[in-house]
Amino acid sequence: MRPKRLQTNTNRRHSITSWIEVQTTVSAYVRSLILDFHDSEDVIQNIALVFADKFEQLDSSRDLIPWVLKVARYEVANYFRTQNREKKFFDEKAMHRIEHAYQSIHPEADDVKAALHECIQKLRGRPRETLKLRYFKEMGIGDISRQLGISKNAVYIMLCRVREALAKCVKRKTNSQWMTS
Amino acid sequence: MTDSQKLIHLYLENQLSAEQAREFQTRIKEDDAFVRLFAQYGLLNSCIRNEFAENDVQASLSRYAVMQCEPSTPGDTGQTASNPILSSEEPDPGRIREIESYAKRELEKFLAEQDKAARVDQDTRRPFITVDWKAALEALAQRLDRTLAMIGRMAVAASIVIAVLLVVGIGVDYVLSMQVVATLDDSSHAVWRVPPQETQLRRGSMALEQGYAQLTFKRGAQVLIQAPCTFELQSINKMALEDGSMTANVPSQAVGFRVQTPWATVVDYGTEFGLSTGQTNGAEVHVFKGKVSVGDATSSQVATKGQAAIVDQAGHIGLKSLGDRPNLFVRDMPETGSCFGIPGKRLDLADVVGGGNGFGTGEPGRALDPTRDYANFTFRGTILRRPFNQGIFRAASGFIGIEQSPFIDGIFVPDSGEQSTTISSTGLVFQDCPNTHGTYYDGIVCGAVFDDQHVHTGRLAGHSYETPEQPSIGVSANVGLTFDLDSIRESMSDCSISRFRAHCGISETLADLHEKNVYAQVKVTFWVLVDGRIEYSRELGTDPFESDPIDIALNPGDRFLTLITTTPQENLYCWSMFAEPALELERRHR
Repeated sequence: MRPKRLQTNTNRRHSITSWIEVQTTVSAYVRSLILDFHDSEDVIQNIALVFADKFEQLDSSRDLIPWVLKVARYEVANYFRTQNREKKFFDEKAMHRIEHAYQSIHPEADDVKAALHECIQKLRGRPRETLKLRYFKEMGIGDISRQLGISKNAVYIMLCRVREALAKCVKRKTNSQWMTS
Repeated sequence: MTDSQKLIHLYLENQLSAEQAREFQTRIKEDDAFVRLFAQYGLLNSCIRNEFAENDVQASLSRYAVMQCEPSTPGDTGQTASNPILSSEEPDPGRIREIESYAKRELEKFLAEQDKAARVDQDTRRPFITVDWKAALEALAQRLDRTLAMIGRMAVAASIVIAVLLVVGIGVDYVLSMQVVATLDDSSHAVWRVPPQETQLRRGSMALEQGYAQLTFKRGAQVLIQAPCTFELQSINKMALEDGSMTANVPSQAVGFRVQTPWATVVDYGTEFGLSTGQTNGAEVHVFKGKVSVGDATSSQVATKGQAAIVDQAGHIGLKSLGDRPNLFVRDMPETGSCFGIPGKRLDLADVVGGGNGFGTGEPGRALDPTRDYANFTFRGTILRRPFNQGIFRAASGFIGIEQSPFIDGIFVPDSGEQSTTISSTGLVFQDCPNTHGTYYDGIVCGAVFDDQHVHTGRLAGHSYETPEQPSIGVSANVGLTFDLDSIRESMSDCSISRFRAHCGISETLADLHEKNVYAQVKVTFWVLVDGRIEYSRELGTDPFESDPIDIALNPGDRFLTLITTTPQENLYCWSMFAEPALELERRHR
């Protein structure tokens, strides 16, 4: 066995651009299963490494997203194993369905990302501050309520409302069937 | 808000009640619309996170752009006072498109360069070549900076530049490399290839050339790095060890701490373990507490407390008992000045005699005895368990291999009597061995300790060798000891051994305890052999007391270093010592 090396061939350029194509969806998949942002970052990075490592072996005619989501599923399962969780929140069937759902929304992912980028610029004041504490400072509801001096429930409602507002804005901009239950 | 939406928000905030959780799980499995909605909110959630993470990046990039802002090149006029990137004016859409397309071309160029660099790297066979995303981003930012200055110095907001970067697709997940992943808590005799500028450490590679460094990862894992060591911080709970040695202490919140090596990945389950690896010699994991898994995606083994997992060059993983392995790992940061051996700089051979790795893991007073491999010997205590001081001169019994320490090939009693004196496991012979009584008095002791009237440490040239930072080897004639330099080199794959240094002589404490007529005739010849060649030999006496420095250059091909003491008389009062016996280390430059 030779010491392991990550891929260094000329394929790399393609590998990077291909990763960029899938990373929005993969990141979303991982973050919806691993809610801790730090931990999910770790797992996403692992997936990127596997991606870079295995990319050259891939049949170029194959669709990337099912493959990379499978890699992601494996890495997420790995993560939960190291956490010594007694019981998994999602069983195999649920994991399969979630994976499939991300596969089907993948074509919209980049548009959603771009739309959200614009929508989020419009946010001001307390809503923005709350989002920042949650998504940038990575604080939980309890910490945010202490920081802002409002009840936990108020924080929760604020986060729901902001996300709903952003969802509406994205829906309007992408002009799609997005976010309808 | 519908019930579905409410459930999803609760899930995202980890606020589901047990009942709601069951409903959530059921609907994921049975309701197609719900699982799709879940994925959509997941995407939204993830994109929000990206937006805020990017803001952080944006701030650091703006600082970066200021630092990188170069004076105008000839032909470019003016334009140093106001940096176009940092201007807050809104740019017009046409120009943004222009910048975008330019940025795309620049990215293409940049990636082409990366390809080229990768090919060069491949030739030198450097492992762990990962895409250095931080460098990639910085290089791209720098290039864009110049580019933008060139294409008309348009006013453009920082956010647009960042947007362009993201359009061309430097992934935000990589951009998070700007995050601090660990802190540098402490170091001892540390010499870095590139010294860290601050104690907050970001993702990236580091190389410790000498000494020790202690890091705490953000998730809580504490790591003690022993030089020479090349490693990479990968995240708040993950690192790669390219070569070198480390120990890790992993509290419960950091369970899952992961160390990649070129041979296997070590995943921790809440424990304390030591790990060493290199480019040529596989990997070895010693578990002091708890358990770890060692392996890769296809196969792995779990090693528990008291076990060593050894990954060979073929990738096979074997488990052994720690009892059979030497003390390879320094588990606690030594206090500055408390150690003679300094990783990457100087290896203490007295510590090796004491069963250690040459950096303070050995036991002072531990002895190598030519009749029994090891014997207990209390350094400062009054009880000497080894029955050596009974006037019995023991006879030689040939070359004795020392299994317990990979660094010591073996020991022997030199004598040119009926048989030649073998000095190595490979059968090297001490050709010029003088005639001796073929007996010895003491074993070979970590710490030159003599027991006559009272237990005391030896003294040479007025200097008493009694603390860990002034070690010595006690070698009452006639004994010999051979170190295996190849094994020592293997334990620190990026270091070469340049010299052997020591002071030798007979302890002056003889004069404190005895009349001159008792010891005046004592003479001992000190020998140093390299692969059987005599590199040093000198007879030293006690009237007056003589001591002598030894300084021998060693080459990469030298395997066996042999220290010998002989005396022509009966071996009474041959209180011989090699003081501060050191292998000088040098970083091997590839």
